[in-house]
Amino acid sequence: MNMRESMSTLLLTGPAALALVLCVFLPVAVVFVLAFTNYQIGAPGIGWVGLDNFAQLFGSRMGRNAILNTLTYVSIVIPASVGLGLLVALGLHALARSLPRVSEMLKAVYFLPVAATLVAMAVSWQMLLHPSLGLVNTWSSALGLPAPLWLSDRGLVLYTLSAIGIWQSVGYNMVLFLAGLAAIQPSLYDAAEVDGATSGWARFWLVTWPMLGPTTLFVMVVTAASAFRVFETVATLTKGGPAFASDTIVYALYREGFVYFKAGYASAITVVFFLALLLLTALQIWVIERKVHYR
Amino acid sequence: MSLCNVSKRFGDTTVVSDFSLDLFAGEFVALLGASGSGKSTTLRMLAGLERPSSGKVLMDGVDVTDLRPAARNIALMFQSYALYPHLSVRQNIATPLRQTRLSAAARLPGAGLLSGQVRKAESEINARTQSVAQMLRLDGLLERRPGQLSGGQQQRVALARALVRDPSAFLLDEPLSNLDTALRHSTREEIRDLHRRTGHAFLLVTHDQTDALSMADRIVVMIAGRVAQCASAADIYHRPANREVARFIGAHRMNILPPGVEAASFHPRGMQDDIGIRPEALQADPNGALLATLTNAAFHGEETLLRLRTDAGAELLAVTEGTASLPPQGTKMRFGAQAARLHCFDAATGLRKEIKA
Repeated sequence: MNMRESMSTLLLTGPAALALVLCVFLPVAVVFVLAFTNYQIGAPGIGWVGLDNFAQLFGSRMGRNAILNTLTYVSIVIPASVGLGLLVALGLHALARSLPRVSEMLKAVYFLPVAATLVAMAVSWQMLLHPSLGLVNTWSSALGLPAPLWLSDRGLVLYTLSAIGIWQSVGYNMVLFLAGLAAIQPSLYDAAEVDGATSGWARFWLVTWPMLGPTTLFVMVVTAASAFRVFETVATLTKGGPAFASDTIVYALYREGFVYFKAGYASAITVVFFLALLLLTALQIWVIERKVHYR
Repeated sequence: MSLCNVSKRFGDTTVVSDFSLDLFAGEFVALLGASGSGKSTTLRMLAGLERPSSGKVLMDGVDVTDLRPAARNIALMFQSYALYPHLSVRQNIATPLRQTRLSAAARLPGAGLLSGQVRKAESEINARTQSVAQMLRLDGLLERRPGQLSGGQQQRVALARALVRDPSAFLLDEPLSNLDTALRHSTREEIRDLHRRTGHAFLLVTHDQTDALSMADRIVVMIAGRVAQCASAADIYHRPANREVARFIGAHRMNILPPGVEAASFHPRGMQDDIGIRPEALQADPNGALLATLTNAAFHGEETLLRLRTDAGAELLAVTEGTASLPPQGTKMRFGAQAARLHCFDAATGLRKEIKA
């Protein structure tokens, strides 16, 4: 019996575990090894270079630029996307009581960017942001406002991409926050009301915000992970330009690996990126988890 | 404090209709009703969490219908306790004081370091919290979170949070429904004791008649959103105002004999009115008025429940002592009841009619 049970367990978990090892763990291991070599795709030879690749990433102006750009992007997108997601969710949650139909419709509207393919959406953004023909600049010049070069101004391009990143992720965060809001016991709000938390502000700090703790943590982790991986908008809208002003880690990784075929260097970037994300997630969970689950 | 002809409708359904109730200072009133009878809605209207569709809520003669709960200074203990899970027991108890005595800015962490006034208010709040916690034997648990407490302890925290700001009235929504039998018993006494010590007006909402009968000075029986009877516990039991109350109150449902020869065998009024006999009043008696077949006998330890069928087909229940020896099922027996323990209800309206013994 015990034997048969373990056989069926193996049969059920085995294929998935095998696929995981072959398709995820093995390539990751290979990448970790390649990161210490000068391997180029298609090259006949391979040489051990130690930490040279990492030195190049952190030492070169290009590498540091990509890291800095990514950090800037992330530090704009995380707070804005989480904050806006919460704000929209609070608004729609309150609206659902008085105007349920409108609330449902707005939910769908906010979620649309999440469901849509970002590459396809990027084309729309390109048209909207076109310096002379785009809707944004036509309107802003009609209103007498300046018409900046959204995607080709070196000082502006990163913020434009951040805005698109926020637009794209707010809907997802909103859905998570809505689920979190729906799970709050209504009696806690009654208790807050009886206890004298009469303003919406007081109720938010007494009940809503602490009760959303686990949701907020999850939303932050998910948003951080996706913000660090920003790629589609960069690849389709700017190709890292102008003059590398919007070059990000993942785009640099793509360029080095798939355009210049420098597999060794690309692997090193991957390793750094992987470890950074791991560290961030672990930090968020260890530090904040203790404060959000009230056991 | 009082409710005047209050009604509450949700959409097309009327949950509470034309309800009036006076709660006097220092009184302990129980609002007793089956689930769905509108008793919780009534409580919420009294507390200010629900606005009546019509009618008024008065406190000391002042109309407070549009005032919010905090402004009415009413304490409410929730059935689920509704403790804030992220706050310690101390913070939970202090919340009503902090919310009403400190401004939003003063509630910020560290505000006490900057302002002496805030520091003074905080130390007052702390002292008050401490004394209420002591009264409810919570002083050892102040730094714990609600999740680390047992059901009974959570309940005491909820009581403490309700009591901490010296409310004008204290409303309890099914306070005992989440406790086990042993704890229920001691908590009943504790709540009574608390009522005596604090002298606040208490209003208890419950579906459990034992809770209501054992704790309250006055019981309001609520059936289908209306007051069916409002009287002392003894009166509710011995002189139910109508058939519904009679059936609702008592550990065993009252037997109601429809007008006819069998009802008349107990009392002449039985020819045209319903005669009600509590199962515990119906006793086996060789000279009894009623002949019935024993269909089932269930032994419950201290008592035995006898199911009877009369010749006219009425199903009755009688309760005897557990020690009584019983004839086998199917036996025909005679039963009787003291005239003083009979109840008479109008067959059409169900209203009580007084009968002379």
